[in-house]
Amino acid sequence: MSPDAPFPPIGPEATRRAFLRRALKAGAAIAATGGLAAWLWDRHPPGTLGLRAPASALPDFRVSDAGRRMAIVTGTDRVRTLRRALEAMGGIGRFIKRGDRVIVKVNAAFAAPSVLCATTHPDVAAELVRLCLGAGAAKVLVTDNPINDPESCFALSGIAASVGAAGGALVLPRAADFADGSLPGGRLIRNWPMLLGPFRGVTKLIGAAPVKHHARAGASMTIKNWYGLLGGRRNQFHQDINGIIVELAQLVRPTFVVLDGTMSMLTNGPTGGSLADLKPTHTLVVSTDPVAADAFGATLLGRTFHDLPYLSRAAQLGCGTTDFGALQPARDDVS
Amino acid sequence: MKITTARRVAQIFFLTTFLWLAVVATVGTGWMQWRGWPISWFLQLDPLAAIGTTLATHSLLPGFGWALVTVALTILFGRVFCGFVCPFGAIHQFVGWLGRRALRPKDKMAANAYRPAQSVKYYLLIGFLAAAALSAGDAFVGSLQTGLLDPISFLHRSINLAVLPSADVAFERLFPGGRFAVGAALIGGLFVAFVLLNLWIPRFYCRFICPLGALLGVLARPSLWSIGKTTAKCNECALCDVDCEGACNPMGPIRGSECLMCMNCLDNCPNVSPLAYVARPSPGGEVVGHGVSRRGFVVAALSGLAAVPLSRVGGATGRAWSPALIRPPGSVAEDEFLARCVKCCECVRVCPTNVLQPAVMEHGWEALWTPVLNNRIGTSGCQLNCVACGYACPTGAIRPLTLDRKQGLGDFEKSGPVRIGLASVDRGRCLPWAMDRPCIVCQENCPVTPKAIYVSEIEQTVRDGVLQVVSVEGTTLGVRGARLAPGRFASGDYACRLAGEERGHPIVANTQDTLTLDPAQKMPDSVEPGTAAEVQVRLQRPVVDPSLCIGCGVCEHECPMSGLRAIRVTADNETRDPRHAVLLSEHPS
Amino acid sequence: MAISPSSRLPSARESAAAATVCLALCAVLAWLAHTQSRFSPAVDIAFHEAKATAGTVHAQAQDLVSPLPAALRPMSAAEAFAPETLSDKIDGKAEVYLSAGVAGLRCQRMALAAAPASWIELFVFDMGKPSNAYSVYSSQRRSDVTDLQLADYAYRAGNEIALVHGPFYVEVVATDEGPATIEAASALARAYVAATPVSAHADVSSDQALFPREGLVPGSVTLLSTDVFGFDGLGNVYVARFRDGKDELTLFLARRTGARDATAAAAALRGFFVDDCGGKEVARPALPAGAVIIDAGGSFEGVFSTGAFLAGVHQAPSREGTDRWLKRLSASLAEKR
Repeated sequence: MSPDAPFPPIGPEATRRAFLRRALKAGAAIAATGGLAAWLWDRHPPGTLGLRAPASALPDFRVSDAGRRMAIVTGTDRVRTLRRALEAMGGIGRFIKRGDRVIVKVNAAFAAPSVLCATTHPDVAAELVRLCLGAGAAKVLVTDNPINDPESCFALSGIAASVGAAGGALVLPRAADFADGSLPGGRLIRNWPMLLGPFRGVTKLIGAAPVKHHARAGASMTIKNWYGLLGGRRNQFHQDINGIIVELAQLVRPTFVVLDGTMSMLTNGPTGGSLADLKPTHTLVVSTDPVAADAFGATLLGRTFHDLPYLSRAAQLGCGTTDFGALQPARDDVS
Repeated sequence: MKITTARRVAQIFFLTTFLWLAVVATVGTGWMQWRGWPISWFLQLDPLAAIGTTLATHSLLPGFGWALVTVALTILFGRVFCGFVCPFGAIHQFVGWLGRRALRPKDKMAANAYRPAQSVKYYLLIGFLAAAALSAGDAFVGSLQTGLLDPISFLHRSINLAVLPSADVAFERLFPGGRFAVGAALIGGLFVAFVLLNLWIPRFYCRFICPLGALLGVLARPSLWSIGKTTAKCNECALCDVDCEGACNPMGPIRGSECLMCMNCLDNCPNVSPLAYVARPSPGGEVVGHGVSRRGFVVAALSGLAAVPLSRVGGATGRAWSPALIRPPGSVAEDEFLARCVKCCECVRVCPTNVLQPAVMEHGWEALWTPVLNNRIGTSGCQLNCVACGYACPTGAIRPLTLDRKQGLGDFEKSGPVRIGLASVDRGRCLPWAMDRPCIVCQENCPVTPKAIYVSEIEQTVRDGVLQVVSVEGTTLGVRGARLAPGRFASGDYACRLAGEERGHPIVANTQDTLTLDPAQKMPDSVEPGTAAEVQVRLQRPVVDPSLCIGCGVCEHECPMSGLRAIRVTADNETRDPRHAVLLSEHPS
Repeated sequence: MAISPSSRLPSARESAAAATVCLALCAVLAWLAHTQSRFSPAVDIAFHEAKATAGTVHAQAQDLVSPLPAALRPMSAAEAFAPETLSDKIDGKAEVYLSAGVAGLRCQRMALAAAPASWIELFVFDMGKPSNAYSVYSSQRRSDVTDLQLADYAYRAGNEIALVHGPFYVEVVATDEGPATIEAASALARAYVAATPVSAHADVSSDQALFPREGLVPGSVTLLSTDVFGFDGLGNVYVARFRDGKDELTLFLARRTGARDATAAAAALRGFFVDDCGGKEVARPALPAGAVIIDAGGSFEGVFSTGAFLAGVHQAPSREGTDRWLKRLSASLAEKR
């Protein structure tokens, strides 16, 4: 037995070569661990709790060469008024190109039948899907984060069935679809959970909203419709309803919006509930400027934009104009 | 010097160091206080804590650089961490030796035979790591539960929360006034049970349970140096099994991943034998596996994976979040917290007021032994000028804060102070709100500037406080009506309003049928017998301003309703999760 | 068979390995001893920083003006106060700034290098926006002042220099009126303005120029930001005093966001004078359109609106004078607008 036992030296040459091989392997294992550690190394050791830098939640979906346009068409058949209005805007092809992935953000806030006009009318949603697909869109998604249970909202409002028939894809919000979003420089929308999942790969955004009275905000039209992109405990924004609508106007820059004033909810909004709350106003608006659309919508409710403080503030911040006449809207009648 | 002697020296050294770091973990500059001692160093050395948090959060905290040292040592020299460093292992080894030193070698050998159940620890490790690694985008991140059985966490928890406080009960040297830990009996009971199991099978915990040992076993399987034979054959006396701590069968085909590097076999091997610590495979054969079957692996991994969504379905990290789960200041949002906390309870140990406590099962099993504030048990609430827990936390579950950040000063004025919750007054229990008694202890103790608790004042006629004057002598009125408790109305909060007067006269003394009024206030020219006199109390009723309250719990601690407090903190409005906000932000970003 | 641990003598290599372990332990011990002497931030904060930041005054590391004029030396650290703690520094006067929307105060004392008994305190009120800064500036403007040309608005009154620089209202208060002290104070004010870039400036001259020129008491134009005339619904109003023979009265005007707002504000103010102050409407003159004159028990109030402006006469001694000044103000507005 060697005098060095039980701690023998490496030994004869053959063993030494084997040792070198093993040593190389061990060295490689250690190096790999070290490399992995370096890759995962937390270079910004914690200490800035709650101070994440906000990043913009949504890209700008406007079509640059479309400019600011508006069309106002009167009539009772939503499909016809919508088609005519889009023709007057230069055709759907001006906005939707081949291969576009489009989101149609409807207002499906409540599990109410379409006749109560508390939600986007299924005809409008379906016709938008058809038009987009006709213009070559690769995919048309229809979504909203409603107030009531999403499945019932889409089913009872008739949107699920009509959109399905038109070939659109209905997206019911899942927990994983919400991610924190911010309006840069914003005060309210800061690292707030938003329905951003469906927007992955999306190139165009269309808003479609009815004209409704809203007890807290005065009215709920195309801009208030973006509220449905907010998740979390968003009801605390009712502490500053005009503030949140203005921030939504800044955050969401849609391709165009559709404001359906075929029937307008004059009272008891935003839920309504009775046909007595509705007034036939027989008008449908398509606009690339949501502020102008809402300013016009206010007139359907027998009011002016002065009655809706968020409109003036949004206009001041460059989100659009309250003077919709300045856009020289195309007007037509198809009744 | 023999290597086993060096091993004993190292074990004593590291166990002593561990205990010392536990003893000094009190915020202070004295020689037996925290000073700069790296109180969480053993956790930073712990590769299980490092890998677990990294799997769950995809980031490695710089402090875990120490774990890389352990990994490198293990790859080179085998499980020297278990044999030389691990303080829990040292305790197990010592108790096992103590209980079995008189046994015959034959019985010792039998106890040290390899058992298939030693693979249990690998299954535990697989399950834990699978649970930690599971994440589903933003919906949820993994659940780090290694701390339940990680020996370093286990020992920290046991020593800090059960052993030291109960050893100190008679002396009050470490903890003047005593130290409490919710559920300490369970923590201490498990510790004692696992220590006593060594009397049955030596290093029971290390062989069967320890997930850190399992991880090191995996890393050590191809270790450069290992115990092995120098020749294929020996006289097979099996003396090497007599004191083998790892039950790794050094004589036969050795199980390198089970070897704890106790080196006892080298001592026991007769001089002519070939056992050695060598840098080559043993000619006596090696067992390379861990006794883990493919089916067992899949079952363990799937169990770990399934446990996370299953427990999240309970909603505790989502909509059903527990408002009673008040995390210490600097804590990250709950889902990330559960991906980082290794349940070592170092934060609980260093908390100067004892307000930080280990959760038992009240916030769900995932939160077992994680820190939560308990404003009744501590000596006060969370202290305004204290950030100790964040610097004790080795994993970033509680972030280290500067005082500016915690209090919202300097660069952090816009983000405001770190709020851990929000106090609210239970108007059905509060003395001035519900029982017409003056109090406002909460308002006086609110440490925030300006105070988050203000008072709304009213004057109210006390029960049976409508009296009739029967005589007047100076400023002392004889009265008729209810019998008055002598002295009760002399506290300065009470006044007597005479019929026809607008303001009451402060009462300075009373007997059961007289009231003495403040002579400084002018009496009416004449008070006719029969004049009505009302005893009124001036009540200051506490109201909380949610824009200022940081949830420190000092008010709750001080509230005289000592059972269920009349002002209580819930986790509402905590900074760590914007979804728990109550108020809208008041500053632009 | 007994196993004795001493039955074997260690080889040199084993001894070397054991010695390496012991050396490693010594190294760990040395590292621990070294580490424990460098206090953890948690300990430092609890025992040192906590005392420094106890209370609400937060020391700023930097001087308020850098570089300081050569004649001055810092005498104290710069202090900062938030709206909640403003009264800790200026007590009851905090109300003046709070009602105008103050965002914070920073201040610092400097002594004259040549005469350390003389010192100067610099107060910088961050008013959030220039109009607020002008508001507190104008409402505190002393009567006997020397106008200075060192910022948007600036004057010296005795030992004090006050100025508006962007959203900041700045006061430089010296201990005496000695020429060296005043010279240092002016230098400090200039240095502050030079060292503080601002993006927006108070542009209030256009609105206040709408008042009639004739009879205006010089320097009496003031921007009131809240609770104008005690009415909590009225803010951001220019008031100016005018001489009318031997009497004196006040004219006011305020720009609103539009004609509707201005009309509504006029109606609200009329309501305040009639309902809350017990006044009586005594006349509705034909000009200016929509004007009302209210007898407020001895003095008269006149209110009207034109375009986006709310305007009127406050505390005029006579009804006839009110009528006359209403027309004069309306004419001035029509002419200059």
